[in-house]
Amino acid sequence: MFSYQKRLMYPINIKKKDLKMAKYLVTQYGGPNGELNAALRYLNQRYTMPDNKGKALLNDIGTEELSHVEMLQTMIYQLTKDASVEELIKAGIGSNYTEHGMSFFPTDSFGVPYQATFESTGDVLADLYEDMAAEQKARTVYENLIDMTNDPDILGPLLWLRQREIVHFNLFKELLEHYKSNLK
Amino acid sequence: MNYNDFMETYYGFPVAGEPIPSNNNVVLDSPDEGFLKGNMFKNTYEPYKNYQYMRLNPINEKEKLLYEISKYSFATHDLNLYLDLYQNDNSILMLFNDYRKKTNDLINEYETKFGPMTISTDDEKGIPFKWASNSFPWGGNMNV
Repeated sequence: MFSYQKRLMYPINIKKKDLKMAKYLVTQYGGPNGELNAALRYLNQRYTMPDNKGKALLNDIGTEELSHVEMLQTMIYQLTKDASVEELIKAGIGSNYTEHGMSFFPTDSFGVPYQATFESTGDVLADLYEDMAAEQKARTVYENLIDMTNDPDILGPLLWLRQREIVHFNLFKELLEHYKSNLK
Repeated sequence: MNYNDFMETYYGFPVAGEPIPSNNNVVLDSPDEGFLKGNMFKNTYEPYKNYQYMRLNPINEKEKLLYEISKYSFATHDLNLYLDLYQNDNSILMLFNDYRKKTNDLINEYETKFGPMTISTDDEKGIPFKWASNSFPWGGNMNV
């Protein structure tokens, strides 16, 4: 089971409204390389990991990704909370307002709704290669987002989340090497 | 067929597997730096271009305490992920236990002073129900 702590994994204090950045970084919430997809991917794959190292790592990284989902939601909230309808329309997210008001909806940066686009094949090697690729893709998206802003309040969490992709990639790689040398 | 036999047959090794030996390449960072970087392992830290990781500036007692919790909790979590793979690394396990205890002590201190951070707190004494009446973490100001 999961339990909640009333704090973020890394603090987010965005003071400046930025609707364009909200439109772009929503993809790391609900896009193909986003945190929601990562959380579900790992929490699904943990059941078919062949030993307890794999189960533990997929369980614990999957849990961490849920905390990243919350960080992305918080960023979107703080970037948009004082916006007028006019400003939302001007920034190209008027259609989010049509369906959801000031609430969130997980999409990519084009507004395409969240889809479970991750691969879980049940083949441990295929899944871990997938996970390593996914962490690399997410790292790249964070880098692209970092290139698009100068706001230190946004850069801090983006740089931090990007680094987590690197840490997870390395751990998945080590788990993969373990299975490669133990699988007959 | 029991589970271990199943694993032997289809994966080629029993569920317990062989312990992965310690990773001798590990160079740990301090909780202070590791938390800000998002990586407790100095040898795998990869900066992006010339960007420096951000410094955080907690301004009051509540923020300072929350910052300490974040640091030690993060350090515990990153060692947790490492230990998932390297279960027999005793020196990392001892450090994990130090950080875990420090985190728990700090959370207790925070809850005594500022109300529940966890629903399992012992500090929920009398009305109003503090869990639902103190602030939520998305409001800014170090998220307290």
